[in-house]
Amino acid sequence: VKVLLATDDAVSRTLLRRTLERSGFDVQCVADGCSASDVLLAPDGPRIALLDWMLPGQDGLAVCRQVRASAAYPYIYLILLTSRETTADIVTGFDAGVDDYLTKPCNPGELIARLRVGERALHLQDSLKHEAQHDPLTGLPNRSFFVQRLEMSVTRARAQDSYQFTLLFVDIDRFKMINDSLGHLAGDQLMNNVAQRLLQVVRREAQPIETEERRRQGSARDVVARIGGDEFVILLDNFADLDDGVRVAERIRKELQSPFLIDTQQLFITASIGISTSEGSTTEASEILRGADAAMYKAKELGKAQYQIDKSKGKEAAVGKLRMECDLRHALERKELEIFYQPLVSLSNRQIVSFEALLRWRRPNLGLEYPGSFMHIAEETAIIVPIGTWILNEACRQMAEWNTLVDPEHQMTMCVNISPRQFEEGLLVKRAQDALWQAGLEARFLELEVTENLTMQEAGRATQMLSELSDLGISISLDDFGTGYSSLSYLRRLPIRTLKIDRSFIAEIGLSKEGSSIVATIVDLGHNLGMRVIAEGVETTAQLAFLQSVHCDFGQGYLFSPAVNAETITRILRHDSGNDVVIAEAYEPLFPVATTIPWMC
Amino acid sequence: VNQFKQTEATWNDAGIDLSNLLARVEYDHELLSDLLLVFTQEFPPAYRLLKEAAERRDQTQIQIIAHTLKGMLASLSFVRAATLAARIERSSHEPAMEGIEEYLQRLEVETAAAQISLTQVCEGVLT
Repeated sequence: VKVLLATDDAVSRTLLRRTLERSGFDVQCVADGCSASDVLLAPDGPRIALLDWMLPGQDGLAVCRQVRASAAYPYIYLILLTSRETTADIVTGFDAGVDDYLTKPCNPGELIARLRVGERALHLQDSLKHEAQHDPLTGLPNRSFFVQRLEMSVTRARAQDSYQFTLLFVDIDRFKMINDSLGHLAGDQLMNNVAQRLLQVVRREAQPIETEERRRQGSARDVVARIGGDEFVILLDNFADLDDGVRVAERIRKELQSPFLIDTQQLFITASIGISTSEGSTTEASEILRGADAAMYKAKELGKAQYQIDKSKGKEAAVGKLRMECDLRHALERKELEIFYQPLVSLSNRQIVSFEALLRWRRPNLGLEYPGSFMHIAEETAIIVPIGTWILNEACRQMAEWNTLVDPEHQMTMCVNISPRQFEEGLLVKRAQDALWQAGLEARFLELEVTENLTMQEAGRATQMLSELSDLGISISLDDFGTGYSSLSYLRRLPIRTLKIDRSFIAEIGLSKEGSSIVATIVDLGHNLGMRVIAEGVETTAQLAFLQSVHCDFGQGYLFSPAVNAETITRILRHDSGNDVVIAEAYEPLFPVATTIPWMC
Repeated sequence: VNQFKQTEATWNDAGIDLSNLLARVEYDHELLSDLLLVFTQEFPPAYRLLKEAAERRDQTQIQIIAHTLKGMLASLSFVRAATLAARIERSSHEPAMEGIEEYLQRLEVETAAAQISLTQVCEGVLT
C-alpha cells in the first residue's frame, strides 16, 4: 500500500519513513500541506495518509477537508499526527474527516498497527464497492456501474469533438428455453461462458474502477457489462462510427458460433445485437442505451441471430455520408481539391529524387481535410476515378514544370497513388499516356504507386496493366509493403521497380529487435529482387541511422519534410536553380527540425 | 542492546529518555545515527529563525517554528529541550510572551548538551 507522510519535521519524517518502509509500505514524503493535497488528489495517489496537524501552507485538517470534499474515488484513509490530546482537538479532527489519529512522537508498533487497521478498512471498502458494481456470476460490471461509465463517455463526447463511442446491446436468443429445459445452474454456467467469449472480442479494461481523471488520461478501453439475465452491453471506447460497431457485432456472432459445453452437453446459441453510437445529437446515456435496446428488439423481430442499427443513428450517419458524397462530387469543379507534395530523399547523397503527390480537400467552412476522412467515400462511389485522373494530369504537369527549374542531370520523378477503382476502370494506361503527353513529361519521370492487396486481388489484370505501363517507361512502386498479403513468387513476376516499406515497420526501428530485423530483411529482399527500397514515415535520426546502415535507398517522412503545397516547392527550386537540389540546403530554413540533424547542418 | 544500556545513565543526565528513544528506533544503530545527522543539519537554522522571530515579536512564526522543533526534539527523546520548545510555543499565544528569551537560551544549552551526548554515545556504539 502506498502511504503519504506529510510532516515538516525532518527528523520525524526520517524516523517514520524508515519505520513504515521496514514494514513493507511504499512511502511518499512531503513537507507542506499544499503538496499533500496535490499528491492525494492526483490519480493513483496513496490510499493511506499520515498528516501532521501543523503543516506549512495548509494544515493537516484543511487537507483532510479538501480530500473529503472531493468526490474522487478511491477512498483515502486519513490518519492525523498530533501532539494535541484534548478531547476537543480529537473531535475537531474527526469532524474534518479523519479516520484515526496518532500522538507524536509515535511508537513504531502502534503506528504500524493503526496502518494495518487502515489497510483492512480499505480492503473491506474496496470489496463492498466491487460487489455493488459487479455481477456476482460473471464478475462483469453490472447495470448501475455500466451506466456510470456510459455517462462518463457521454460527458467526454460532449466535451471533445474527436471522441465518440459505440454501444452494443447483446441479448442471447432463446435463453429462457435453455434455462427452463436444463435448469438455472446450466443457464448460469452458459452466461459465464458467454461473458468470457464477449471479453475476447473487445479491448480489455485495465482498471475495474474508472475515475474521470483516468478516463481523460487513459487510452481506449472497452467495457463489457451484464445488465440482465441474458443481456450484455458493450461500450466500444473511442470507436468512431457504426461500421466499427458492425465489425465488432460480426466478431461476436462468430465468437458465439462454436458450441458451448455445459455439463457434457453441447449447446449452440445465437445472439441478437443492437448497435448505437454517440454520434449526432445524443446528450443522455439513457437515450443511447434505449436506442441500442430498441435496435436489439428489432433484430429479434426480424428473426433473431442478427444485428440491427439504431434507426436514428443509421439515418444520421447515412445523411452525413450522402452530404459528403455530394460535396465531393462538386469538389473538383469548385477547385476545392489541392495536391500537396512530399519529397523523397536519397539516403546516400541527401538529394531529393522524387515527390509523392498527396491529395487534400480544402472544404468550405471545414478547413483542410486529409484523405482518411473522405477517401473511403470516394472509393465506394467511384468518384475517385475522375479525381485520380485529375491528380495524374496535375502531378505530371507540375513535375514537368519543376524539372525545368533544376539541372538536367538531377531531374526528379513524380509518384502518384493509384486506387483499385482506377484499375477496375481499365483505362489507366491510356490515362497515364494522356497525362504525360499533355504535360510534356517523359514517362521515366512518372512512378505509379499501387498497394500489395490491389496487385494480389486483381492479379491477372494487374500483371497485364502494370506490364503495359512499364513498357511505356513508367515506374511502378509497391506501397505500404509488409501490411498486405503478397505472394513473393507472384511479386517477382510483376514489373515493380520500388518497394515502399510501410511506416508501421519504420516506427518499430529501435523499439524492438524484431522491428529492426523486419526492416533489414525487407531492404535485403527488395535488393535481391533488383528493386529499390523506400522507407516511409522516417521521423527520427535513430531511424535514419539504422536505414543508412542497412543500405536502404530512399526515405520519406517528417524528418525530411512534411507534404507541402506546390508553391512552397516551386519557391525552393527557383531559389536553388542550377544547383543540385539537396535537402539540407533546400529545407533547412523551412523545417527547423532539420537543423538538429548533424548531417543536414 | 547491551551497549546502549550501558550508557543509559549518561543519556539521562543529558536530558534524553534513552529507553523511549531506543524503542522508537527499534534498536537500529544506523537509523539513530541518521536521525542525529538530520537533526544536526536541521536544528541550527530553525533555531536561528526562531530567535529572529522572537526579536521581531512575530508570534505566528514563533508558534510555527517552536511547534516543529518540539516535534523534532520529542522524536529524539530530548525531553528537557522538547519541554522548553513546548513552553516557547505556549508563550507565543500570550501577548507578553513572558520568559521567552530565557526559554530560548535554555533551549540552546539543553539541546547542545543532549546532542553532544547522543553523538558520543552513537560513536561509541558504532565503534
